[in-house]
Amino acid sequence: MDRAEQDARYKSAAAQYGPALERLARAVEADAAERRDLVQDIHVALWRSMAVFDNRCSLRTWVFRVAHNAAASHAMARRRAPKGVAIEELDLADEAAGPEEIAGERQALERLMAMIRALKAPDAQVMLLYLEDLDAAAIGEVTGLKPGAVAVKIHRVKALLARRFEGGRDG
Amino acid sequence: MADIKNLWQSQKQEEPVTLENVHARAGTFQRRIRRRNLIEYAAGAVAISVFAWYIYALPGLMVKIGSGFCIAGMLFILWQLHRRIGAEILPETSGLGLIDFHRRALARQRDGLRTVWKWYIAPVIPGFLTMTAGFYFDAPEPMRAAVLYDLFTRLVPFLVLVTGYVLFVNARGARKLQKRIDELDDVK
Repeated sequence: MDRAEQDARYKSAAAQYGPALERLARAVEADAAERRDLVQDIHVALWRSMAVFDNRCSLRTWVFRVAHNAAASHAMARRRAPKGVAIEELDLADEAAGPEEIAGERQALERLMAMIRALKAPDAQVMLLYLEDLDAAAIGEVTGLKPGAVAVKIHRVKALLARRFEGGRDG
Repeated sequence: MADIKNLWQSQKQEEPVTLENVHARAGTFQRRIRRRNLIEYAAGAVAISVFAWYIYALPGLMVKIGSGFCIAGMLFILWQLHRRIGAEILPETSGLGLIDFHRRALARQRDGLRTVWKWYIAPVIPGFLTMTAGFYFDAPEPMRAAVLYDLFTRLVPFLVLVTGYVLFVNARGARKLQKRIDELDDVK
């Protein structure tokens, strides 16, 4: 593949998924300067990956795999990065604020991102992909998790989000 | 539940990343890698120059042979570095799923910790031992006991302690990484 084709593929993918990539970076990195770097690193990884993308999976699956792996590299490289907890542990540990206390969209988003940052990598990824509206099969394809494990994690993600943001309403 | 998804997806995008940004950053990244490799090779070249100078300047055949072994060991280490750097890929661009990607990254770190002594420490040991023996045999007869005493009370314990500590820390790190790999294997 020549460079022009790689550039064209990247531009198309970035136009389509750029906002989702930025949301991923926001969820992973709280520091604004580090986040800008991470967004750029994700885009560089995506651009490089377009040289080897062979359509064996959908573009969306490929973009999310590359982006999440770049974000995971960033998280692993961070000094003293917390190991993170599983969804069920977070649900038990974090009883600080109920839905009535979460006023405003900004606060809700900040709280959501704090929750994601506290999770172990596979759990955080499932939650992020769920928020991006991917179904269980697509989440399994991106993460490489077994279908059963994806189903369990989605169930826990939904329960946690419902408890934290919708006063127990499930949807 | 749609509300929280809508809220998540409605976040405004900051300034989009341009293709020019991406090209520039990829170039910077390549330059950084080249500089890092250059520094490692330069450090190796300095060490080789020092041992080459020992061959020229120090008396005693065994010390010269030991210095030669050290140069061979350093060349082996540089070759290993070159081979490992050459094989370095950016796995995030390989499109692996997160679990496989994570597992591969952890396994690579674990293997690095388990094998580093083989290619980073062991290759220079024959050279150091030969040089040490050379210092002993090249010393005048009445001084040999003092040289031996010096070697076994200072140099040898120091080397054994440092090597032992490095091996212990690496083994502990490798065990922790293996535990995380096992956790990933359980959910996959």
